[in-house]
Amino acid sequence: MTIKRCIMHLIGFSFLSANCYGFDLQVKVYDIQGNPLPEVVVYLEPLAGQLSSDTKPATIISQTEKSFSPYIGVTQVSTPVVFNNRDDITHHIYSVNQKMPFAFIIQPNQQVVQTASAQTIEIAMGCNVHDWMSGHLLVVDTPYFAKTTAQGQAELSVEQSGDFRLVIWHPQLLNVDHRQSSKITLDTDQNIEVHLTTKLASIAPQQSDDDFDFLSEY
Amino acid sequence: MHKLNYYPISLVIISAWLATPSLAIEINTHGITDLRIGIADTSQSHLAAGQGKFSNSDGLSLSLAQFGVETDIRFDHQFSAKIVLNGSYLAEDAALGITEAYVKYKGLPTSSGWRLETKAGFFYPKISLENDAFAWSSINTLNSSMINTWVAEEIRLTGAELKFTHLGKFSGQNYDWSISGAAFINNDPSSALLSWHGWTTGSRQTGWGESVAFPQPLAAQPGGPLAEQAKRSKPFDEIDHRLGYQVHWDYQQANWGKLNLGYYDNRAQSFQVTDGQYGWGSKFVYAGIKLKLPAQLQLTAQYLEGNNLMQSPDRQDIVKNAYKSGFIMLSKRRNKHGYAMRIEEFQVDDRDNTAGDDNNEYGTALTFSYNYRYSKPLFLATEINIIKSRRPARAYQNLAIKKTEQQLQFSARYFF
Repeated sequence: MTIKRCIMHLIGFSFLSANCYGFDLQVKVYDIQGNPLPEVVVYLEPLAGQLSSDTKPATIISQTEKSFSPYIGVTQVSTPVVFNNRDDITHHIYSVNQKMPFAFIIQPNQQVVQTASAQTIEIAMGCNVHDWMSGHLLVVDTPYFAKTTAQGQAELSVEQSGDFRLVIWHPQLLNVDHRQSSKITLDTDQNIEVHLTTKLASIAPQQSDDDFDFLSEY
Repeated sequence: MHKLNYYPISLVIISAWLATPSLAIEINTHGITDLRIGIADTSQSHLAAGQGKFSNSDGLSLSLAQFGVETDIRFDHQFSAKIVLNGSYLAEDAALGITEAYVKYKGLPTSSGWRLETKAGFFYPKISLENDAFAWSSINTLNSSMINTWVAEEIRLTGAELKFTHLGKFSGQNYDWSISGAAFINNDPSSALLSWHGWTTGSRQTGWGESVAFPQPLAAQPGGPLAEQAKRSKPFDEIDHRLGYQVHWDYQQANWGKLNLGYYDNRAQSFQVTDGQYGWGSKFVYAGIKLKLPAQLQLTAQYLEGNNLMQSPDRQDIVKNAYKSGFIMLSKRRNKHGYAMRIEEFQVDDRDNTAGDDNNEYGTALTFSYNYRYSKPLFLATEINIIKSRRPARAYQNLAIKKTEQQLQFSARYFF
């Protein structure tokens, strides 16, 4: 895995600054029934101040077919969060988190850029025109984060060894702060399985019950 | 024209100006055009002062059943205004008027999901579960149910509404609910038309300040107890300068449906009369449910029950009725096809002793509707309405008291 990562750095002509001697962590997340769980956030918090030169690019959250896409976003602190309205109607996006409050009208095909807060927070978002629309954004103070694939798999590349807190986050996880965490020590590539010990609440369908294109807002 | 005819427009414009010292205003306009060909077995339409329950009289008709335009003006992400214009051009009736005009504040939800909304102007109370499309048009059928046809004809609030909504998603719940209250002026003659023509079905909406014809009872002849009543009723007039009120609760659960429940009372003083328009103390309760069923079926049902009182200036009861109506509709939309079937029951119970003004009525109605979505904005539809009713007031026009009325309509509805 480390070789693959080095090759990717070389292809990207960033080998001069790249540390090719990091570690790859493969995390597979299972729900309480033992099924692989897609679309959950996995991130690592360095516990010994291990620094990283990585900065993640902007996160894009689209409005597509009157829903947030993706439903769950994750981004690093102080990075741009780009909202991209791909619908042919106007949305009114808002956050209810007072640590990162925002509210804006976004026209069809318009982009609005917000800057993620400087601290770790989770943000519940909605659309004040279409109440069924829900979206969640997790802001983390680490570059080591990913979302699980359809197979429940997430891959993280870490530059320096040491102790980390491995955190699983999902807004519907019925646990304190919607998280389950454990301490790990990384000094080589690892595969870790995480079995959630609490259930996930169901996600409300991200579509209106009134399926008609010409609804007036009464 | 009524002296307050321009009040709602002025309110909207002044409020818009006050709310927008230097903001970019966004304006969106939508609407509907509904052209129909119909053939009916009925009598003269109630819109032409007959006893017929459809908008057109007996025989073949070509009509512009609805031309509706709604304009949303957004000042910022919380303040907006809406003006809705509706018109129709029928064989014996033409109308064009403002059916809603209001300014609205819609706050942002708090972190626990509470949201405050308020609006002021001229607007519909949220009773109908059918008329959610542009310009208050009906989604699944051409003719609205009798309840909502009546709401479109005689019920409108000129005032202010305060609404609290709780969005459950921010506290782990899968349902939302809201409660609202409105205080309003005008709408004092409401239920006069219902009393004199009974329950009807159509898609016509009464505009601000408009007067509407109705079949004249015998008691309206010179010397009769209703001789002072104007020949056309103006549902949105102010008669007694008292506030009415409406309260409303609704509940919505994703993937299940919605419920609503409310109460309306115009608190009109029944013995007041101005320019031939009486105060009709009119109050009613209403309830509705819309459910998602298996196989993409949807069930919609509404019920409304109330009473009214209209008195002479010396406070003698002239018209005193109890009225109720309910419907159940099953509908389904799949790909380009839409189907709906609606069953209705309706009644007016005349509780006064005025001779020559029998408002009793009982009946049932059946609607079958089909629409084909020819293109995204264009729907081609056909609908059958059958109404069977007993109505003694038909005798005033030398008609049989019992009658079955039927109508077949073909429509092209274009949304824009």
